[in-house]
Amino acid sequence: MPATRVRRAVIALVTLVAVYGIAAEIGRERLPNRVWLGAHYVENVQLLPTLRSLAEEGAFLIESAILPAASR
Amino acid sequence: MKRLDPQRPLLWLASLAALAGIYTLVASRAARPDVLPGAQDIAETFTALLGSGQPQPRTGSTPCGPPWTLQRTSRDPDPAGVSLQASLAISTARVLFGLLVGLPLGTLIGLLLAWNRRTDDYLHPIYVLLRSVPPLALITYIMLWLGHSEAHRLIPIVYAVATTAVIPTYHGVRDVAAKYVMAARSLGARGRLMLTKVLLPAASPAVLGGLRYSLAIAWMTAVGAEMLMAENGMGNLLVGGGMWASRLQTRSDPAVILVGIVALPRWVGRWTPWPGP
Repeated sequence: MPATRVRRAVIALVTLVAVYGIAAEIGRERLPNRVWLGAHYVENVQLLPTLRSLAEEGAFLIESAILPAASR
Repeated sequence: MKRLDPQRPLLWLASLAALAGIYTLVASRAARPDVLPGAQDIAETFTALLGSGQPQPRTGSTPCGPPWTLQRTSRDPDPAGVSLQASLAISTARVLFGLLVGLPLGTLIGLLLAWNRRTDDYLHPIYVLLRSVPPLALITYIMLWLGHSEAHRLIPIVYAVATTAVIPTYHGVRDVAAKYVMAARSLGARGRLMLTKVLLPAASPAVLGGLRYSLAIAWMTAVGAEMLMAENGMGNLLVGGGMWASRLQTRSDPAVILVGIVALPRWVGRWTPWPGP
């Protein structure tokens, strides 16, 4: 029974990641990259970052020791 | 119905009075009204905030705090006109909205997870993943997606209430005595009938216990969100009193006390017939 539960949990999480990845790839082309916040706007915003860009950002945060320092 | 020991409310009141007494004593001994204002100062500011909103600057023998708190610049927002009751009403409205939307949502998710083992196996890990995200961390994303609006104050509250309400509902339904379920099944109850006539009534004490807990979480999240990104509400009043103005001009102390008082329903909830979470 625990094996079944673990398998189902893995399936659910992998499905979630896959669905997000697909949505992010579709969103890369269609979502705006300029966001208005009141009178100002922010340029080059990824409203739904792709998995690749999340991985790059994660690697940068680890290499620069920002993430380990923040989790301390 | 749970019987209330008549001495307990008196003991609670006595403990609150003792706390107030100790605070007054410490404040008078410390003689630093910029850090620990006296009870009379707090009462005066409370009255002033109930009126126009802006207490008058104090002069005379009041010792000053650090110099950087005494100067207001022209860029500082002027909190004049902000009253305690208006801020409380705004925060309460946000909390009520969060409860109104988040509670049914959380209860439904809890029911869904508890109702079916397979659904629970698939969705529970995702729920745990989402639940771990602090509500206030969503503010940035909501602002990017929906702009600077009321949404980034309301959505974190809805999210906090919903994720909180899931657990009591889940455990309430899962812990329904097997004999009730078996008896209902043997009498032919299935699906909707089982849900409405057996599971929900049996789980309702746990769901209502979760409501009490959700109320406290909603209140904390609302004040936190307002402290970060709001132009009104109790959280904004707290930040305004502490940061934008001199403590000798605008004080947040009554607001801090009121935030605590409003959270009392959770304490009062001890008198309700349903158990706490």
